[in-house]
Amino acid sequence: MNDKKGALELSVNVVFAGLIGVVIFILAFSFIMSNMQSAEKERKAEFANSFVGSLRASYEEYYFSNIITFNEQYSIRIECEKLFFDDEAVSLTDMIVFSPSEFSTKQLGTNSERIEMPFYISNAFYLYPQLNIFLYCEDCYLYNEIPEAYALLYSLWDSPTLVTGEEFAEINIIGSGDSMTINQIYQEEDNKNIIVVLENDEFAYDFAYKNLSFDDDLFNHDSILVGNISYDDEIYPFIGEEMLFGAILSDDLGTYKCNVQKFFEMFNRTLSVYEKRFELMSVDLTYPCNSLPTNQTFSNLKGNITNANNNFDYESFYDLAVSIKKLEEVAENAEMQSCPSIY
Amino acid sequence: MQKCRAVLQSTKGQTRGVETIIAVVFVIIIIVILGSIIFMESSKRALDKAKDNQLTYVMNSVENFLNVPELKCSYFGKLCIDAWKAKAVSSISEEDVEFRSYIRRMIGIDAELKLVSLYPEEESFLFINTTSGLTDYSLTQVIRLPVVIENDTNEPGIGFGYVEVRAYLR
Repeated sequence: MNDKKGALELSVNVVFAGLIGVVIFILAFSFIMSNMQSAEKERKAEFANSFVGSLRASYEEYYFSNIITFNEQYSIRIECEKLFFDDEAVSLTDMIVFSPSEFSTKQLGTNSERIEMPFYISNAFYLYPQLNIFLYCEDCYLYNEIPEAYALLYSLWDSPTLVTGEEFAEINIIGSGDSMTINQIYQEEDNKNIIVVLENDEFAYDFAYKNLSFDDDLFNHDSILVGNISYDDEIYPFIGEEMLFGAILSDDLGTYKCNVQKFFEMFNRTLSVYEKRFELMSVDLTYPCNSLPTNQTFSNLKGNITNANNNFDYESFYDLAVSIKKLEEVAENAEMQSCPSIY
Repeated sequence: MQKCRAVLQSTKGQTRGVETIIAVVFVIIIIVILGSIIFMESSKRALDKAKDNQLTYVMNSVENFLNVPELKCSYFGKLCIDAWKAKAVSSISEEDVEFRSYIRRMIGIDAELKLVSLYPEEESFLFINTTSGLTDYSLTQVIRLPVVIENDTNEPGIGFGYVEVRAYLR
């Protein structure tokens, strides 16, 4: 009887200790798991912030390109004001970031270019997965037959290089010699290719490509390029080479438009400072200067920015380019006459 | 005698049970104490690290802000401010809320930010002060960054001074 009682007491103790052990184990396990989850979340948030921080730090740089390699496949999504790394979002306010709207990748290509109209306004950033851009030129057999926009795009883009020596995002100009080539490009299984054709090219294939038209009558080669990219029945007007590439890379008009509108906002803000600077400076100027901008010069430019922002079409972008050109001429004249710099 | 042994065994059993419970409770208390110490230590470190990060962030943000086209010199490199642009920014910022919020976004913290010119002229331009009326800050840090100041209408055209950031951190 006593032996039985002792055995019962022992097993109650064992069960009790076991229960306590299980409770402690569950508590410890859930604590470790929640810590691991929050550490993972923090790691992603930290990465997202440091990524945008490093983009911000590259302001003012003339050019940079880089490849960022992740440990795992990341899903990247751009919603104009926000950049999502999986579910971690970072703010893109005051940053112009052109990118496909959504992609998954283990390697992220980043480029940056200065936008100068004609004074520095901001850097444009590009984010993209590994891809190829084919500029299809119908009758390009000789170097001088390559359209200006294609040549500009080709020279503008300097892809980062993989350790294997390959370019991460390659641009190729291809001719019409082999019509099968373009079909093959399109039919590649993991299609990460962007095909750009000039508007006037008769191109009968029934698949998505980006149609480029531009104006090069107004300006010489080192001035502002204005044009349109059309894709999926939507028009992406651009002003300047940086936006031309932005339009090619974007697959969502809303995000592209939002970034261009950010550019207009920055342009307007910078212009307001230059206008005020000039207004304050002209009162203090002790020597005569014949070539200085009038209030009209700035207000015309601001009016054209507002029009381009509201209408968002080729014509208003063209008018803006004309008034930028005028300000540039005033600044050049001021410099020649040793007047203070306009911007 | 047998009855006595049975009572003794029962008391022994009970004592063993109580001993086990005490041991388990003791182990739990030790674990809780150790856990709390580790947790508090790591929280303190995380807080210190966060403050360090915040200061680094402030420095980077202010440097970025000094390089915006609205302030920087036309021809010189980094950490050079155009005096007339600084006057213009100061004047616009005084009147325009949008412009103030742009500067606030760029520097990323509540702060008083001004340019102090030391040579050739002694003057100062306030860019922004987002802290007036607010008091719940845990740390105030003053950072001074030496800068070159370019002035197109003055002789000499180049001077120097510093940018003062009175950063208020929560």
